[in-house]
Amino acid sequence: MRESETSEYPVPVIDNALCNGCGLCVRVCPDDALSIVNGVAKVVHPEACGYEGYCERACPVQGITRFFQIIFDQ
Amino acid sequence: MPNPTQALQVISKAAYFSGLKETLQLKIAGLARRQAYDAGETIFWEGDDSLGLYIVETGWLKVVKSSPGGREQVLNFLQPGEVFNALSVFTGTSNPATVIALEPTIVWLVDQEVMLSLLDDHPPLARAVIEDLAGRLLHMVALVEDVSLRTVEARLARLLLEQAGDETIDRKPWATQAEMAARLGTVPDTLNRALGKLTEQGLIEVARHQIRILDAAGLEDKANSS
Repeated sequence: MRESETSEYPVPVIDNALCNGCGLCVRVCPDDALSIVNGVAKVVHPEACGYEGYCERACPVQGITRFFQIIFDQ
Repeated sequence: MPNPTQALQVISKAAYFSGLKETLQLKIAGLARRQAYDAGETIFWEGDDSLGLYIVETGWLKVVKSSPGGREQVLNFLQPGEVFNALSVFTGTSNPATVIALEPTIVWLVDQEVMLSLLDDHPPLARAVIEDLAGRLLHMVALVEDVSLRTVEARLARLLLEQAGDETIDRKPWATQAEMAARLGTVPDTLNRALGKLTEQGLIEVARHQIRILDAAGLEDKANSS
């Protein structure tokens, strides 16, 4: 189960195996939602995450992914 | 020992095998080997010798190519029921790409020699394989036409309508921008700009983890434009 499927606030999914802890995502996040914890990036403030995708685009190892559901507006 | 009934359930629903007689499906099921992988494990590497044909029982996998610089390009995603690594089985070449499990995954492997010998002995299987390969070739021709003649916006509009309207699966799949870009034959940056344009035109809304289609008719017009 991916984090974004269970979390009340869907947040980008970080692959700890890929993350090298460079901190670029932390620097580009306009919501200050990310931090480096134990050497890898973590969404420490999920409620603040605006899901803009700056982190996903900045990540040099493609270790951050945002998941979307595509739906018809009811 | 894996249960042949279990293999039969998977094989009878997979491309190539679904239209075959049950006796032949059972024979293939008896020859297939079950393999389990954890999320993040590699099923096989690009360039390695091909072991055979794989069928996905459960899980979700990505097919990737890596550049010498280490950048990864996702070519495709695989879901239960899908068959992969067929081309290298029939051409006798090495694996054309790397396949990695994104979730705990179970696949069934039919060895290359077994598959080739089954083809020699069973013309209905050979015909099913030819039909599938011809279908893939048609898809590639359509993709080339699509990529050369239609804009990313038009192609994205079609993809969004197809995904939103897919009622064949129990759970709504999670799409990533990398996956959508791979399906459209473009890169995530370009896809992102196309999403922005469709949003500006009031056709869709990107709201947190949802891409909502606000104007299905307008999006259909966009999908049909060049």
